[in-house]
Amino acid sequence: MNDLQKAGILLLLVQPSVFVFRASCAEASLAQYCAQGELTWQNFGSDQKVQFEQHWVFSLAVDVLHRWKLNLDTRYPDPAIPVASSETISYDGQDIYSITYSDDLLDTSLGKVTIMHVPRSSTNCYPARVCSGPYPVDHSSAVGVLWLAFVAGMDLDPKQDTARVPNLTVACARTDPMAWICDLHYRLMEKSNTKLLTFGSFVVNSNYFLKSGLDYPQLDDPVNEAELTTVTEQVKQYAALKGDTAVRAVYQLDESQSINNTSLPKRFHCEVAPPPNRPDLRGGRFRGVVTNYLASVEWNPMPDLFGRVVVEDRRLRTKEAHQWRKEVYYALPNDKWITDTNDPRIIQAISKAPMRPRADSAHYARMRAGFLTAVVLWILWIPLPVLLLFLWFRRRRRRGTETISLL
Amino acid sequence: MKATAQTLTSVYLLSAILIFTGATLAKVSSKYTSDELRLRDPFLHFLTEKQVLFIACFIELLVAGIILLTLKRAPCVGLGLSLWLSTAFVIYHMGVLLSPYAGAGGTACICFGGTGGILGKAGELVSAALLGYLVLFGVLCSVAFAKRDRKRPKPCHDKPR
Repeated sequence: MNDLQKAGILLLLVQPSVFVFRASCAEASLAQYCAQGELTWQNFGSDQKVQFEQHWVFSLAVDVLHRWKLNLDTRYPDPAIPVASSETISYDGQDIYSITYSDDLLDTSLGKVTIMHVPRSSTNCYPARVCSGPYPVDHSSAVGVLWLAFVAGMDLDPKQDTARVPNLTVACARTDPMAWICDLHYRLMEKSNTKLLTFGSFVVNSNYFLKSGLDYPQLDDPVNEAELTTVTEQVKQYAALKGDTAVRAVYQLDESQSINNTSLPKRFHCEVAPPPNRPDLRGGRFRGVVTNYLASVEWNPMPDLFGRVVVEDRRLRTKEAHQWRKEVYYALPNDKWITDTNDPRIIQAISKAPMRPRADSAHYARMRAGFLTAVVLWILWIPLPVLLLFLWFRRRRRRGTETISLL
Repeated sequence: MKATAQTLTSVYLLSAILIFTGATLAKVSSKYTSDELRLRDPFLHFLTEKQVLFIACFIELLVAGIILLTLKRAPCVGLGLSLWLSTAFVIYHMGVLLSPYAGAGGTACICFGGTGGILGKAGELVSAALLGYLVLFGVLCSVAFAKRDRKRPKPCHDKPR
């Protein structure tokens, strides 16, 4: 197993749950505020009982340039998977950088889950991700809800009440079309010098159902038959959502507070509808509480780096008619993020990154026809020796009979 | 002509025995992980990689054995079997390349141990080269054999009555 594979399957080294903004010599600056608090997710069954619960401790800092940095510590609640992790996500005004540290190696290859507790020194290799901003589409719904609470309002027009914004309350915005077919109906806090979201609901807009994956540049295309079937089924189910069922998530600011004339969330919640194919679920609810605010905090806007870091960079995604590139991988040099996509390391990584076939393309349909032809040919070809043997035996037996009759 | 065709066929059959035995050894000695072996085969999707490897090894050894046994008495049997098996591998190889069940970036063919086998990254190239050799040289030998048979006087039991 090489470093890239390790980084791909691992959640890495745990940090203390209390997040400390380190001042890095060159990049140290001041954040406008830093909010610390807790976020809880509860998933309800149709009997209203909590089926699943997860807690996060978060710390989020924002500066006047609307750059932000979020640290999220969590422990997976399933006792069978006792994994703790700490993730830091930063938006530098252009791209989103994130890194995950954990003491637990979680091997999820081929659907299995194996947990290995390893000392940090044994691998010292951590996975990081970079994607184009401003939306944290590569991260969990918990990140999406915190982004809604603190950051989303800053980019919304107060004169409007609807905008096309990715629905980041879905578990995986990269693979779930639901993230890309919704409008955000919103209200911003009035008479406030910060544009704070007080209400927001993600509602399915039927005009956003488009024919090809090319129309959704940030959505991962299916690369095989199974994935294509899953996405096709999902889109069918989403197209059937009408009226109340078309409302997929509702965010509500419950209480706010003012720090240095800046209005900030204190308590908020977000109700998320269950997937349409899960009638056994009633949906789930995020609840967020801010426990502490720090004004004018010194911070390093980028995530701190330790050890050997392997980056999955999605800034260079590209979609063509027949194929697409999801990401490129490279190791970070000298504990510094590569912000320039023209960096030689990234250029080299692009040359090694495989283009994947797009399963909804005409080229893929031709490949599939070729595959079926190969299957038919193979089925006809394989019994050939048995058939020839049979014919040979029959011919030999006939000859034997003819000889006997001649006698 | 007769001697050339016979020598050519003998060389081909001996090399086929070596290749099929070598391919079996490459499969057996390759360090496949248990996860790889549990995966569904991208071409024969109803079978796992482990089952495909097992069946392929069995057939290869069987064919190599039959070729060896019939090498002197009936080389055309070995020739036919070798051509049949190598063509089956070629079709399988094409199917794997075109398979919609293959993962991103395609799936390596495991005929000769695959990229994870003892041949390493060269496994794919070696596999394609050997299959090309078996099919093309096999066709050449078959043509030479057929020409030789046409020139040879037919045995009396084949004469029309």
